[in-house]
Amino acid sequence: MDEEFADFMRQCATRLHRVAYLLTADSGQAEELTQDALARTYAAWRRIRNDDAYAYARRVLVNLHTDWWRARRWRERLVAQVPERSGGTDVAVATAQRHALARALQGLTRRERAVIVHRYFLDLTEQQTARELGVSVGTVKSTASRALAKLRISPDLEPDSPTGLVVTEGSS
Amino acid sequence: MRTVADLRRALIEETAELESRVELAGVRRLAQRRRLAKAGAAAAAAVVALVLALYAATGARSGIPEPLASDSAHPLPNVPLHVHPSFPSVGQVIGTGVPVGPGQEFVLRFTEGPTLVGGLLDTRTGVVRDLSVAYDASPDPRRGGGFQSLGQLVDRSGGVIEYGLYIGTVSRIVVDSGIGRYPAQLAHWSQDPRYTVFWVDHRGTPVEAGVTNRPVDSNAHQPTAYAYDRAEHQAGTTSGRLFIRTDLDINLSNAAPLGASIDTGVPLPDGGTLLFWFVGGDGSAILKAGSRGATGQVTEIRELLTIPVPPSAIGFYRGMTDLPGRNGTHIMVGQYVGPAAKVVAGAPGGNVTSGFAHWSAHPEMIVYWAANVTEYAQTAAIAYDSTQHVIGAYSYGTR
Repeated sequence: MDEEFADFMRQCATRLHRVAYLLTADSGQAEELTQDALARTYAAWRRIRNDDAYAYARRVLVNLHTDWWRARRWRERLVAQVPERSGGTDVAVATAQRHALARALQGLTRRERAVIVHRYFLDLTEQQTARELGVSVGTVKSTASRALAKLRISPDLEPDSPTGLVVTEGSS
Repeated sequence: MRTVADLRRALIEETAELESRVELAGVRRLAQRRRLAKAGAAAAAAVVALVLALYAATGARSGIPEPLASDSAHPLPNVPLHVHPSFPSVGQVIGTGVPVGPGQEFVLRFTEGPTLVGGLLDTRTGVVRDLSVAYDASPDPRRGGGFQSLGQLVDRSGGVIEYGLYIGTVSRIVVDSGIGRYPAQLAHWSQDPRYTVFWVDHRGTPVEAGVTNRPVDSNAHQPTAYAYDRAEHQAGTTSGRLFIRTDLDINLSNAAPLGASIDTGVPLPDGGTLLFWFVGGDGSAILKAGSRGATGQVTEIRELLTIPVPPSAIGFYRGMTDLPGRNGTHIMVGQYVGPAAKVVAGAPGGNVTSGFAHWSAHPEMIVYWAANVTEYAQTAAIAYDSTQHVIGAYSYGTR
């Protein structure tokens, strides 16, 4: 059993850790969350080994994160952000903006981050996300919409639209 | 403007270099500890069952401790209860009978998990507002049973309420506030009577005054709770653990106004006009939006933002609030903190109007809005200094 589980860990531990990091925005917490999820998966291994063990472990991880959030939650406050400067479309600017986006993710509430991670990192549907997070599809939609607005991302834009602000100096 | 593809790339790049350092040995050890904790809990449950059986057989003549304390749950008002839809109750809501300000009662309930959360019940409408800290009520494997969650709130009449959860058999709980010892009221969770919640309302001062749920003074006295079994043996204590204030956000929400309200004159679908005002204290404030009716009566629409006081001069706050305007239009509301003399908001459309106002309590905070907006995602704002130079810009987005 241990060898089989060790194989599973080699394949999935880093994937789980990355999800945990995006959910917690903290490498220490991500490590702890990943280990706890794997321990629970290990305990259930005989039962789930022939199913989608990664999906099981990921669900455990997300549920644990939700429990942590509920156990420690207090109102998360909006944070301010220095206005972006308009930029061109070269690679350096695009990379800088993606890094800024990664930083902006830290400003989301835990639930918003969880929805973003499920929808756009794990590529789950709204229905799957709702099921995984134990909330309604409507909540997923509204939370995703709010989070995208905070990140200033339009879900309607074509993937390769140029980046940059619309407002320029002197306009109103 | 960023795209969803940008977001996907950012998520991948953000984690690309991360590697898990979790090792199988550590996972195995943790799994084993969890298994032992579960086995311990099961053994404890078996002992409780045995004790119950013996107790029933002997009719309590043997002096075996009574397994469960009497229940002090207070009858709830005869109105349907409305709890947060995302956190439905598991089992019955427990009434404490402790008033917290006019028309409100402190209640306790369990949600999925189980998680213990305190709340304020509006005795007229049945609406329960959750306190800001909820507790994972799963038995902590490090402690097994015994005291789990410890919370505190003010009762708004000069007193303090301490509450928490004890898992296991307990006959009575006493809370020592540092000024006196008070017997706590006990009630059992309807789903599992081994879960005993307790509360006590007494004269005193709260342990914290900040808004961050951290003790402001590490030397401040912390209450201590003691649990006793029927034989009067001490079964547990919270000594060394903190009671955490859980009512700070709710208190802030009900706090007094700070500065003058901002009347925008923007008409709303209900016939009133839009206004904003701040409430707060203790280093934080909440910006609220409401409708002022023809008679001057104000109806709150919603809370928009929590900010530190004094506000940090960081320019435009990210995001805007989308409020419903007349005829299906949008009213977009944003905030700016800094040296600007004015902020002008705009969006496509000939009927769009905009306005701004400095908050009288902290004029560096500017609330701005654009009304009659149809293309709300294209709302943008410009900040100007007193010489009409642009000193900042913010775009909500593009469609």
